[in-house]
Amino acid sequence: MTLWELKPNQQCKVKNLKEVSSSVSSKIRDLGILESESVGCLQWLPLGGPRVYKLVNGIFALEKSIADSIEVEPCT
Amino acid sequence: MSGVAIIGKPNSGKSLLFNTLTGLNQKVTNFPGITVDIKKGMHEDVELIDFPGMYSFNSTTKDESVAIKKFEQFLNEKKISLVLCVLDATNLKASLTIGIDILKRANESGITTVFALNLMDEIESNKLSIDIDSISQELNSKIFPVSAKTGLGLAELKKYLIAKDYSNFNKILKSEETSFKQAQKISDNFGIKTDVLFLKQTRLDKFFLSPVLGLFSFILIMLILFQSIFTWSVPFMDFIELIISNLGEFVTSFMGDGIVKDFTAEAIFGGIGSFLVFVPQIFFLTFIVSFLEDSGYLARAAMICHKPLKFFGLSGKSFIPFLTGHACAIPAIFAARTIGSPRRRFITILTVPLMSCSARLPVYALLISAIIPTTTYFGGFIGLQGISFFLLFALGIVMALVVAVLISKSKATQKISDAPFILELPSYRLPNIKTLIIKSLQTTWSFVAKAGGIIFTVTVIVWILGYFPNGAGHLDDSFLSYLGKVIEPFMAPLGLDWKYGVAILASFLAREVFVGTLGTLFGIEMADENMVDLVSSIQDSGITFASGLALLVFYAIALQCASTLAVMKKELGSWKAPIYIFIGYSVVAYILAFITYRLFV
Repeated sequence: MTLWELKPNQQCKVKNLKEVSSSVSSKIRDLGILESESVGCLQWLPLGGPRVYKLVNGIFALEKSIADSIEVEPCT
Repeated sequence: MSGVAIIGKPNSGKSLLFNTLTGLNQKVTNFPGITVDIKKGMHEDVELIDFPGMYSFNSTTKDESVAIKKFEQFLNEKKISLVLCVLDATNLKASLTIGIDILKRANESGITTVFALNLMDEIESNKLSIDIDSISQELNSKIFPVSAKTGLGLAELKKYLIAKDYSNFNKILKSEETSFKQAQKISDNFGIKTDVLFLKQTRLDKFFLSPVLGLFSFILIMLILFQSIFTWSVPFMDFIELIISNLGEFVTSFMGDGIVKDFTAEAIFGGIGSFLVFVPQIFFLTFIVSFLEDSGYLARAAMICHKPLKFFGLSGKSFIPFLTGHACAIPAIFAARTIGSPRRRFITILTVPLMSCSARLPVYALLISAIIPTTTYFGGFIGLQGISFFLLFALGIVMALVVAVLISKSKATQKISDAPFILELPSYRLPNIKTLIIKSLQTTWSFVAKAGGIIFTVTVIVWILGYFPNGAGHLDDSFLSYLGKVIEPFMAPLGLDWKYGVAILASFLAREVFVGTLGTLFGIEMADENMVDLVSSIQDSGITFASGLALLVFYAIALQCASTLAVMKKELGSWKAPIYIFIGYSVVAYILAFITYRLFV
């Protein structure tokens, strides 16, 4: 599954990144989204608005196009 | 002279630390070639240089990469004798990643780095602890636990800065690991163990980002923002008006009748004075916007707005330039640098000038007081004049959205690259009022200083043209009236006489000139011993309700600001778009003003 599909209060580990441009992937690294790092979803906005994630480097709002490019494995 | 660089991650309280250390003793400096906001200030005899916040050394957004380049240049040119890196104690991992990058880079240039571990007040008030000695050992650097907000630990930091003995630290920091891994290890081992602070923030977000209450509070906050600009500033405006009119009468009472007295009364007090009255509004708008920014709410507002703004080809981050644009388009255009997507940044820059900036406020306030009755409803809570202001602001915003859609659909815009929306949600904090006041005073002052010069020049020219050849009381056969007769055919369709035509023409490079010009014109016309206030002069001039509305609509849309066009050119690298936009907005403004006039006449 991807980060976008993660439900509020769910935790997951980052598996890998889908094909993204190099500038986007470096931005993703800046956020602390690296393989096997644990990240969590905090909140969804209605109508497909950006979602709030707790990432290694802080709390960030991400939109679908970027959160969908991050493959994750939910923690049980 | 070399100084101390203050640098760190955004939202680490860096600016507050800089403000606390320098007080009012600071200025924003312009470096040739760049327009990034690098501030300089003095703490005793130590020069402090405040760099914009940055997330990493290989950044992708424009403002960060400019800041990094400038920092490296300063290191290479030995303009820095010490790097003071600000860390966020509540989010050590993130601020330490860039912190270690900075440390390594400064090491290469042989410059010492020390760390200010900020926000320690939050750590203490939540009874948490950080192993500062161990972190200091790991980094081989001096660490000052401080709170810029409460003043905790600042005495020691100040002592160190003043002593200027910056040697002996972190000459070697050897590691094969990436800065990120190092930062992670250090914060896991020695940072705060629990997510107490984080939980507090989540609770607030559950409220401010919830579907119903979140939207409701967003609308409420925006309403309070605009309402308070007008209600809070009223006593200050009345006070300034009182001072100016008394001062004018006092000064002119010493002068004999003649040209000097006429000039002082009409051009100086009538022209510039009528503009100064509106300065408090600029102060309050800047104050409230800065309050929202520092509290952390502005980022949430940008997030809420992302989906709707995306529909118009903009980004949620366009919300911040749009809001700032209500104070002034120039900082707003710079603020657009935080928009990661070049395409959405382009569209934002072109539409920001439609926001009702502070220079429009005097024009709105003057015309609204002249043509809209003071009727109020609900026990004085809502008034017709307030509603008129609101509608004009709304007109600007609606126009901006329409223009944004049109621009975003064009082929040329589609070619510009796009990037996804990523936004840090900083912790909610109670803003420091002193910092806010300093910031608002700076913005207000720079606006007054800049606008003042233009207004003075134009006012003097207008006064000379209106006064000669026949002197006061003969405006109708002055040089200005000949000029006015030439442009009258363009004004007649809006039901306006040549005096308003002259005021519009004079304000084409700076819209705030409109009020001063009218003040001067009516001053010459009346040639009165006592100064009559401008609102009554306008009402007596026989302007109709429809013409007044047409003027308001015209001013809401036309891009009458040479500085905005220059900054647009600087940010976009070409004159092409600014020129098209200038012509386009002028034509649309005129057409809509005409339609408004026909509808209400």
